[in-house]
Amino acid sequence: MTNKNPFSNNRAEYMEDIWKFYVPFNDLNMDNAKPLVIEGGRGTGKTMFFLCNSWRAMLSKYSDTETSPVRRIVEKNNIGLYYKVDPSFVASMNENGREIAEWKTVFSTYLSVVLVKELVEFLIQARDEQVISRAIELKLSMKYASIFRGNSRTFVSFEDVVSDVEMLLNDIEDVINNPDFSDFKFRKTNIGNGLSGFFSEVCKYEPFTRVALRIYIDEYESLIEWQQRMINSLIKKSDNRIIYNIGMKPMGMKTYATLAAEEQLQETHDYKRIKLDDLVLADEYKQMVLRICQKRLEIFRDEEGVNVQSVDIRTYLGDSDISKELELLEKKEKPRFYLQLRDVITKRGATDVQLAQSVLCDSAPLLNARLHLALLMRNTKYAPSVDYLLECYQAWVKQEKNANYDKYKEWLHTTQNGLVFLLAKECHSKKQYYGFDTFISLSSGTIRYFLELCEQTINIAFRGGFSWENESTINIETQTRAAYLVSTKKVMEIESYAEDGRRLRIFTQCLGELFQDLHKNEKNTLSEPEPNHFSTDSLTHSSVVNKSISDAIQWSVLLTSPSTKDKANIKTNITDYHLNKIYAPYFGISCLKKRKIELNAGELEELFSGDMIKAQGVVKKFLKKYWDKNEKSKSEYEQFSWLEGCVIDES
Amino acid sequence: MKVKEEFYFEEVEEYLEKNVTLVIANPSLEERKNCIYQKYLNTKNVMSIVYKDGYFIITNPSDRTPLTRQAPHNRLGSVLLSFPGIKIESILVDITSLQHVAIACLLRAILCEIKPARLFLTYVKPEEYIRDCGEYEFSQDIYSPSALPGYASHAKNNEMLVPFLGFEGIRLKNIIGDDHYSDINPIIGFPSDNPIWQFETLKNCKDSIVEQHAQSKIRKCKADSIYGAYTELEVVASDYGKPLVIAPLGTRPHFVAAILYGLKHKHECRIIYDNASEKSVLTRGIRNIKVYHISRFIGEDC
Repeated sequence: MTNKNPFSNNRAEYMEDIWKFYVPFNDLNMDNAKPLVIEGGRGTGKTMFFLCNSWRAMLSKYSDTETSPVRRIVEKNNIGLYYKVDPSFVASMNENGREIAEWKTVFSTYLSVVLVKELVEFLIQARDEQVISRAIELKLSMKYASIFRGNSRTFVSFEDVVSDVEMLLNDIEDVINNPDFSDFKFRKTNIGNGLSGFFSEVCKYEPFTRVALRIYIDEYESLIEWQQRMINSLIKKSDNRIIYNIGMKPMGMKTYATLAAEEQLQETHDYKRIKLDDLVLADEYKQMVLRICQKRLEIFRDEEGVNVQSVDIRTYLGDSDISKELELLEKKEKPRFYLQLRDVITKRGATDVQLAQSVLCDSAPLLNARLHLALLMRNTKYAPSVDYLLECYQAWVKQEKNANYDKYKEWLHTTQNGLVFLLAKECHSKKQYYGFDTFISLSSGTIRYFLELCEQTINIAFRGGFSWENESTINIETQTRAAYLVSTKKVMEIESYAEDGRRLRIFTQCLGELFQDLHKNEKNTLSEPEPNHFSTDSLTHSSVVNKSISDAIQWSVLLTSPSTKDKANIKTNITDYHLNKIYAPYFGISCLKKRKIELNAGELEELFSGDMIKAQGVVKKFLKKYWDKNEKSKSEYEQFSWLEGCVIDES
Repeated sequence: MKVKEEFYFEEVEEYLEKNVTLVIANPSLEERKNCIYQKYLNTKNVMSIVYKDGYFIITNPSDRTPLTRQAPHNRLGSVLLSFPGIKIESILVDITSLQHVAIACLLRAILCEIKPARLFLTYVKPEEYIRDCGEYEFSQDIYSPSALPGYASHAKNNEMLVPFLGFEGIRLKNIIGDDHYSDINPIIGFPSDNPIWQFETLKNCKDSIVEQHAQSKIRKCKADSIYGAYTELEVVASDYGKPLVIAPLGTRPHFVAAILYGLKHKHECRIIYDNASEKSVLTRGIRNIKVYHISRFIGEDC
């Protein structure tokens, strides 16, 4: 029996033989010659995609075949070069008394040499596999010398070139660290020219004559604005020989401008934009997660020799059927609300109070009884009379398929998830988060989160005796513990987000607590069940609030989705904002898209202020207003108490 | 023969009084940070250095007519020398009261440019750290990991992260962020003057350490020892033969060790720092004062 976990490695950078774990996105078609701008939060798979299309991963992929791996790569007519922005280094190329024009040449030389080095390291493989001759190596080394050293040095091998690149990078370091330094030891190159000049020479020789170079620049958002403009120019200039692709966090593009005056990057025309976060809305995400898990379980089975009974993750997670949680709750001590329900029935009155108490309360299952209390407590024009509720419930129990049956079914359908939140609290139990669909929802489109949920579930399950040899669904308590563990970790992690950490942590904490109260407050009559997101009128926002929202989106603390209809008249706000759903277990709120609240600019400003007291003040005020409104509608209703017993049809 | 290079203040107080020609220290609201500044304000030539908006503001408060001058990081040495009446034979820098960025740039200026005959550092240790709601929270804000001015270095293949652990686990998490390191070897200040401090440090950094599978790689060196930390860096580098990325998040003596190592191995390692802004008062009382004699680093090729 093994307690190894196939989900424990969930970061692309740490994986050996990364290609084995790779599942391609359907949307990311590499036959397309257009540059790709891939936008996605942490853990959505940008780096995985870039690394798996780089020559290093390809080389590893083809290393077991008889044909030369380099030839296999070249046959695809693409050589992928991966470069991850080195944020601390490129950020140092700024100000310190040096003119921006000079920094631009330093940056472009730096970028050229790191990309050329990556290409030369591929050529070393080609030479070692005898795909290219020593004579070509010499010519290419000379070409490098002419571009970057103005023929002031001689290089006879690729190894010479690589060590010269290291020296050149050291020279660039000296220039950065000594802003007074004006005697550059290296030859400055214009952006893109160094690489394209060298690559043109490579393309003169077989088998590279038809090959295109695909550059993958990861973490583009870390570049300074003028550096982004330089990369934007390269994207604009991409042709069928050199194609620049970038990966970035949401809203990571600080400018669309290029180096040319008044020239802008234009989506569709200049590049194809892919928002990985949007995939969560599509069924494709679910399918992709299934394929990723399947691959991991297959590799685990084959490489570890573990007798994994099923490679379908759904076997272990099961479905998210609410009845499993209700079963757990039914085992708890009968909650106090039953007494309250009996009281309410007595107070509201009915043709036969005893019968109503017996049917609607004493003998009703937990979920139904709690629904009855919520409906009877509504105390608005939408509240049913006890008699009407009794008729509807009995029709539902007997499956009579009439209007009463439909009405009850509708009540149950719209409130059952919300009822479970109330029941969990009233039964002194934790809300359960389990099942494949729930984990998909919690992961918010971030594959890494899904894998972390699986990793923790398996780890905890091992302690409870789980074995790969027995095909069985892991119990819901185990899954829930894993969900709470991952969720708590993610909430705590927010504080480590540089510059915005504390502010975003306070924002998340307060907003989460607000939603928590709306889910679990006993005054909740479920007329608006499970509010868990907000919309806001963006036209009224100050630049501070806009910047804060944008930061929250960039760190995936907030997720956006197109706005659902507003109850009021035409509104200017067009976006709904969700707290990342991975935070849902921590706050004990719903991870599905449910009802929304509206927050105004002032409230958001305080929530984002970074001041806990101010932010908590907004929450208190909001909740007071919210529950007072409920009370007010109750007292308005009581003025018309002579109407009690009459039913106003919701339809 | 091993030469003693770390002392308690009482052991060398008389020597310092006689020989030090320039003291660099800042005033502070915090007792321990104010200690060296107050001690020498009336008897020595004292200079204060504050880093703000990319520039160092240098003042000589002990002068009758205090002068203030401004310098970018690369001119810190020359601007310091431009103050009238300055004597640089024997310099004492109080690392307790200076900002981290000031310590880094000042050491570079003194060791590589000014090159005095002798250089001493003082570190005033607190009686206790102040807890905020039961937690040690010293930083108001933390920023993305970046290079200290004058210490920029490009990322290399197969780098190993060596973080000096501090109380605040979130700083370590921020440093690791989305970056990939082939290995992580954390260094903890152990022993420290209070056993709770190292346990608290481990507790707060545990998540990141476990996540990075670095539990078995934690190294230790005395929390107040510059040479201990410096030696530990040399050992890590020679044991693994990988380029180091040093994140000095621990004590100030450990920060200095990272800087000294960075100056000596400028193209072979990187120092990344989160430029955390400290709250104005972090500690209560004074436990003792350490003095470090680091003249052997003067004249580094940097």
